[in-house]
Amino acid sequence: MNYAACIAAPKDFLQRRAEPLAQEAVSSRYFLLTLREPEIARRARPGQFVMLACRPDDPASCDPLLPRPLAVLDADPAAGTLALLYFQAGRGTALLHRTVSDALAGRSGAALRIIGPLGNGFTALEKVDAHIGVGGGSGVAPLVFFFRRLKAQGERHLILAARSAEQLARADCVAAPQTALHEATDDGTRGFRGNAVGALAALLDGPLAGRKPGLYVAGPEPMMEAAALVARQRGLPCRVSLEARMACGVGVCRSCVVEALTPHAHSGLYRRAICQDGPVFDPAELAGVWSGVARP
Amino acid sequence: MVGAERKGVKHKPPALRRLRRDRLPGYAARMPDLTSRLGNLTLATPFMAASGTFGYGSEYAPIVDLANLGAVVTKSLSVAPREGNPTPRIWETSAGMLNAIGLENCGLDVFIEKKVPELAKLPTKVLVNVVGNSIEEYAEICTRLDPIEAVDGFEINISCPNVKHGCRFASDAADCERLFKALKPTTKKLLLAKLSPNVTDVAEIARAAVEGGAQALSLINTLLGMAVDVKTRRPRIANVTGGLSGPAIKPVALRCVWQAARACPGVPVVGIGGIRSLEDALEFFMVGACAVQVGTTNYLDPDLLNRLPGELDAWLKAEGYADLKPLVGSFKA
Repeated sequence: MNYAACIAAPKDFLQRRAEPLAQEAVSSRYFLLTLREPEIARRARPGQFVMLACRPDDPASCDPLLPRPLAVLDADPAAGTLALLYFQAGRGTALLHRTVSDALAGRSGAALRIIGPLGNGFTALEKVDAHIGVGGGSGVAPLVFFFRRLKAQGERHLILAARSAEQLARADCVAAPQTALHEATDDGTRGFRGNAVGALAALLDGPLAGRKPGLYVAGPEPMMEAAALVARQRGLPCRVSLEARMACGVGVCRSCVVEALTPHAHSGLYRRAICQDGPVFDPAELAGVWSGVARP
Repeated sequence: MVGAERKGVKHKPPALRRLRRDRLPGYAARMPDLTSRLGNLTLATPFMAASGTFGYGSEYAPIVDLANLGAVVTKSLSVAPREGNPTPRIWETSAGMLNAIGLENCGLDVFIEKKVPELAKLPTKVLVNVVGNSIEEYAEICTRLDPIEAVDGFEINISCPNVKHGCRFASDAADCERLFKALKPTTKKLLLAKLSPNVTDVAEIARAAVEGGAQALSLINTLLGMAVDVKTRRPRIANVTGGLSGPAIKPVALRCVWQAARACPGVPVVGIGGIRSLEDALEFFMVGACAVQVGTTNYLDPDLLNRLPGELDAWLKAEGYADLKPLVGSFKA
């Protein structure tokens, strides 16, 4: 079931300057950004991310200071391009949008500093007869990339949720082969009326009743916690792709930590760095809300 | 050539000088000497990676040529393992960031077992950043690491703002001197005192550290700060207060380095705080630093550590300097 292209990538990442090729609004909140960076495109695996500067490289401009962790939506090794679907969430991503717009219009320097690919990606769950992705917010990108590269057997369903229809990413940007797309909106303006976890329960109780699917979850933390709870209650294998504020992306700053139930093989600590040990985790191995178990 | 003349070899016939240079591998004499002396250590270049921003060196090995560095300073080490503070641990501020990691580290036993073999492979000097709750804890780490060859020296962190009692040795001159007096007999290796800017008179603490036995000083650690989420009226980081780093703190760091260098003539000083370019580093050299550490910039531009030695080399050549000596402390107030 497991397949070679999805195995966790070795920790050989690169530091490059990537030239933006295109940027397109694919909903009121999502932007599809295409960069030319052949080496990172060749190495990127589903679920991995890059640290991308949100402003031109200039020592005199230091605000906002830190790069932003952005998950890879797709990588085309033949064309040497990397696609990122980013969710405009704050100051950094708003500036990134302006920077790329300026670069494409020839108003500023063209290349953005990029470090990647980083983290361990998704691997296909074994001993399951279907694969369900549950995504929202910035979690959409890694799931779409995963389903596009997935070679394992079994039915595929991808649930993507947003507040309302205009926030959902355009369907062609999130399409994956042989994968049924289920959209959900809180206000019912498109697809299922309710949140991602409501749509998941409807799928598990409806078309997939009696089956044993594996869950892949990425998005806002309350959504991931609720989906992990569903997996636990129904005894389904599950993987969550965690997000956190990051400074370095390579495991040194220790900003993005989460607590696990067992000590780390190298440090002996219960902390895991989301950037280095994740971002994809089995929630059953994490402490607290993720597994319902307190750390020993 | 100008550098050679300044070193007082003007009287030698040009042909002889050329001949002697040719005999050196790689025409080394034509290159400015980037080495920097720190106590009993000679650093290959005056550029170091600051503690807490570079892990144990190998994390950045895929993209940073560690042989370019004078030294790597490890993440802080305590006797017992520490899980660190709750999250969120960082918050980005104007041209800087706040952090309250809480000295998360594996502890001395795991460090010796798992980290030392990795550190031994690094093609650069290794300074271990040491923290403790008491003089005994600092001394235990220095004593146990002293015989280990991979460890070239200790940066004694008396200035972490994110732990209880973290600043006692940094803010009380008598305590500071007592600490270094106690550490001096535990090791023959370099003792570098990392000082805090969160004090009334950094010069007084610098003098106390040197009188106690520190062979060199590094400064500054982070500035204590905080940030508030006005929607929730709660702190942005779980620890409430955190340490401010990044370009925002460079002016404070320069002032502290200048004061410490003037207070302790002849003592090597390592400048730290917001270095983002060669020009920033030059400012630190001019106010008296003989080496600098790059910290927060590693997060956004790890390539800076690759570029700095070449850029400094070019700058020294353009100035006609053969080494760092005419640069260090050349500032005129």
